[in-house]
Amino acid sequence: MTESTRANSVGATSPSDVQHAPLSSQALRALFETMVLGVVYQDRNGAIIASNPAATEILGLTEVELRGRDSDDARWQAVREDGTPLPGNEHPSMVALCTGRSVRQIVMGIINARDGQRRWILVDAVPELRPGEAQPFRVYTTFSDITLRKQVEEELRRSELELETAQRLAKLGSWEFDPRTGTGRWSAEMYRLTGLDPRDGPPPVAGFWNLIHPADRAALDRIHAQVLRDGQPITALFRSDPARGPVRQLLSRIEAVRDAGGRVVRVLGTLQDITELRRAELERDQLFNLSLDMLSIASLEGYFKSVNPAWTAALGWTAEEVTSRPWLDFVHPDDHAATIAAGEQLRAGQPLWGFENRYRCKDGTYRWIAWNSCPLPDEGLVFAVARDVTAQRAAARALETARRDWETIFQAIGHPVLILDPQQRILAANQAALRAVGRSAEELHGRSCHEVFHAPAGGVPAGCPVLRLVADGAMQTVEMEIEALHGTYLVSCTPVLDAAGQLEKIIHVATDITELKRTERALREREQSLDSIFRAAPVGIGLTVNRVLLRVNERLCAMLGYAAEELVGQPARIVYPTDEDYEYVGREKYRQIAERGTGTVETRWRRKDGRIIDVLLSSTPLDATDFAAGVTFTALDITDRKAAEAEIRKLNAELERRVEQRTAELQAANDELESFAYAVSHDLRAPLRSIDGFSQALIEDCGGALDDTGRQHLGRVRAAAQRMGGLIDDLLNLSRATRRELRRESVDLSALAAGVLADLRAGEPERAVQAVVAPGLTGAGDPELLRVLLTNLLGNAWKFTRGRADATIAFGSLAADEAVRFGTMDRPVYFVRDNGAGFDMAYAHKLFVPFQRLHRAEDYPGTGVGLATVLRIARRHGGQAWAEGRVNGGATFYFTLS
Amino acid sequence: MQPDEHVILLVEDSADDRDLTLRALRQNRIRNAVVVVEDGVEALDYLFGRGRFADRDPAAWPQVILLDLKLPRLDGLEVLRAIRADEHTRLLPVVILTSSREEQDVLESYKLGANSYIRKPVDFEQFVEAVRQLGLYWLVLNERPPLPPGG
Repeated sequence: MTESTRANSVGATSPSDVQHAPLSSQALRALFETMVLGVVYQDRNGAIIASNPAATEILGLTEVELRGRDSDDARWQAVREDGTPLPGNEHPSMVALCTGRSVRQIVMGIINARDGQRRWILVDAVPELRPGEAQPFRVYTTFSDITLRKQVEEELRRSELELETAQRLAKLGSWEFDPRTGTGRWSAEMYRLTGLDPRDGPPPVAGFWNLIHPADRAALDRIHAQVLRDGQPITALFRSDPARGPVRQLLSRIEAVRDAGGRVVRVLGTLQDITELRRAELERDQLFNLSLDMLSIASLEGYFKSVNPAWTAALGWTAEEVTSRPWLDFVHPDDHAATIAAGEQLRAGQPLWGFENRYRCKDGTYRWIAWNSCPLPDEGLVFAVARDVTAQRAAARALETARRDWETIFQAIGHPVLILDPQQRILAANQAALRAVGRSAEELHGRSCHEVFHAPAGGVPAGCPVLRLVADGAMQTVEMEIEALHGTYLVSCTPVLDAAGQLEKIIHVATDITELKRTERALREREQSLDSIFRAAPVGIGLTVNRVLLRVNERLCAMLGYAAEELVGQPARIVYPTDEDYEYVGREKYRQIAERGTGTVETRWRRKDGRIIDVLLSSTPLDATDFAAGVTFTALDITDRKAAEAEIRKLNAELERRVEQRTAELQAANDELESFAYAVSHDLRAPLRSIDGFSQALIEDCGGALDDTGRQHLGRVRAAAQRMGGLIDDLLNLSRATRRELRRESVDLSALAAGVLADLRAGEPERAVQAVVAPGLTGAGDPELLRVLLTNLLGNAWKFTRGRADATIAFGSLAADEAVRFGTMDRPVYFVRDNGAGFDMAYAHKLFVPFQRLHRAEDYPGTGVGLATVLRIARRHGGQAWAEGRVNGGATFYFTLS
Repeated sequence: MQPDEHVILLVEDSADDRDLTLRALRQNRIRNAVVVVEDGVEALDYLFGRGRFADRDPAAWPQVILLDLKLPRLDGLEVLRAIRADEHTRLLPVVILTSSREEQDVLESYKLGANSYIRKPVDFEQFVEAVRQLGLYWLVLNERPPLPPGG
């Protein structure tokens, strides 16, 4: 509004015109002009007669424009507060005019003429009456613009509505409570949730507890107290009281507001019905838990976060075990690379379909698992559905194996095999077929079997089984010549039908029977020659079936004195003299046949003339598994041989008796020898001791009475007695070497030889002999006899090196290449070698004979029994002894043990 | 204890061997009294104070018994068995002195508890040496077992 407009309007409706204006002073005029309330005067007809600037502002009309307008004017577009049209006669001013009473605080809407916008105004209308008149002559209306307030109120109402809607949808009620006053406020949803009547207002605290499940009240009470105490927000879940209908799950959040002094001034809270939410969760869990597929949620870092029970069922691990280790831990090492790559794909946000790898079960085995995985990269999660496909894979593999096996068998069949279509075209041929015609598989494919196998004639062979099969649909087997294969074949054709029963393929197998044919012929020929042998053989031959004679040859008839016709068809029993013989042969024959295929039995037969003959029967069944097929036998007349054998037996028995007798005599002689040896050892030596002892006594006691010659004679007597003592000892050794029961144990020959040499050295300490004993020689034998053996050999060596200043004695065993010289490789050859007097090889054979000496006793004293003892001991051990030597060139004595 | 205070019991049937043994003892200056008996029965009579030895001092046990194996009436092994079977004599040293070298005899002697086994050699000088060693050991060096008084 401009100054000029105001001036104009003021000028136009001067207050002086308001004749009955209660106030007309200057001050009132100014108030009228400047007040914020719009004021309009209407005459008794309702036409506007005056208005102030605030009115023109609110209504959007100048004073001039206003003047004369009445309430009925449609341009007001007046509405009631609820938006319905307000007719002119109901405008407050008109009501006041009509009734003569003031109308107060009416809200109505009009259109501002200047901007066309709705204005809300709060209107008071006051009628003016002249004294004595019933009808008002004028009405004035004051009004204020409440458009802004209305808008705010509208906003507030709408937002409250929205909140309520939201609360209803979320089943979330809110409340507040002032602990100081014990009063509170509930949102509409709270009433719906609790089922209380909103008109009753919020219940007291104690009343609210009644709404809660009795079991949950104590806990909620505690929480409530805690919130009041420390003011921390708390969320709690509890259930509604079952007495008030179906139990619902209620989620409550409570928070306290404090004033500056820390006192709780308000408690705020929400209450949410999450029954439906929980049910949905439960249903989802149920789905997860009951699924037969292996469901899992995993982190992209490589751990399962949760897995369903199907996992445990499939792999045996508990959910805890699966989630406690990286998933790669379960994957077969050979699948690690592929699994890591799949994990990369998931991390890149790519879903994974049909990925397969092997997972380890708790029992250590592996299962093939197929995966459909969907990543949520923002969440760092993967949802995966997995399935155990081990059986499928095994089935696929089995199918592949079967196909390969079939192919292998097809190719490996040694006979030409073709697969043909109904038009006799080759679909497949095995290796044997390709080899037979010298073509490749490609060359044969699609060609006619006649063209390939019956060229050059090329025609269809007579009785072709393929054509016959095509004609009548039945399997065919035909023997025929195949030109291309140069032989006789057994051809068999087998139809393969399709699902509809129509001929689809023909399997054509050609078995080469050329050789079979030849064999058949050879067999026939051999049968003929066997038959001539049968007839002409010099032994009896026959065939029995169930011990009935079916065939007999001439020789058999001659043996038995029957004609062939008299024997054939007869039970074999007729040729046996007794039932015992007959049964024994049957029993023994079949027992041997069962053991080694043929049965050979000696028995007796009775000829037709009654004479008994001895027979050697040899029987062989025609079929080892079925004796009923018949048994062939040969029969040899051994009557003469048996008689000869009986004679031999008689002679043998006589011989045996004689041997026994001789053995007994020998034993007696041995026993005598033994007692003789004992007597020699004891009785024969006693007189020698007397001779020697008293000779010595004579020398000692009467030496003075003897001259040198006498003393020499006595010396000779003593020497002779001592030599005879030695001879007796040696003879005893020899006898003991023979008689002694042989023990066998491992003997350390090296140690034994060293001991003997030490004794020899002790006996003659003045001699310088270099003795060498090879270490570690052992032999199996009698330690006592082996000691005697070594004592003799080493004693000889000791004795025969007496004349040498550089005497050397060695005990050892020959190396294998040396032992070969004596043809003894399988056992050690021991030797005693010296560089002494040696001997002439011409007399070597006499060395080991008792009492044979090659040296004069004066030169080398000895009895001639020692080497005989050595040989005897070696032989008793299963060995041998021998010697090599040269006169004055030393000697080597060898011996072996078993 | 003086060695010569104790007797040596020599059991030997051959007069030659008796004399030679006594000679060998003498040559080795072994001055113990030697009681000579000629067979096994007499040997046991002496030891157990029977027969002609009924008046023997029961406390005087021989220092050592030299026992031949081949004896009339009761042979050496029987004598040895009887000595070892009696509690008074079972600890007496017994040296087998024989010409037998049969392994069986040696084995049997040791089995019955002979303390030594000496084979009489033909060479007298060797015999003298054997007796010397025997005397040295059994009469000088060996500590006698405590023996109960004879019965």
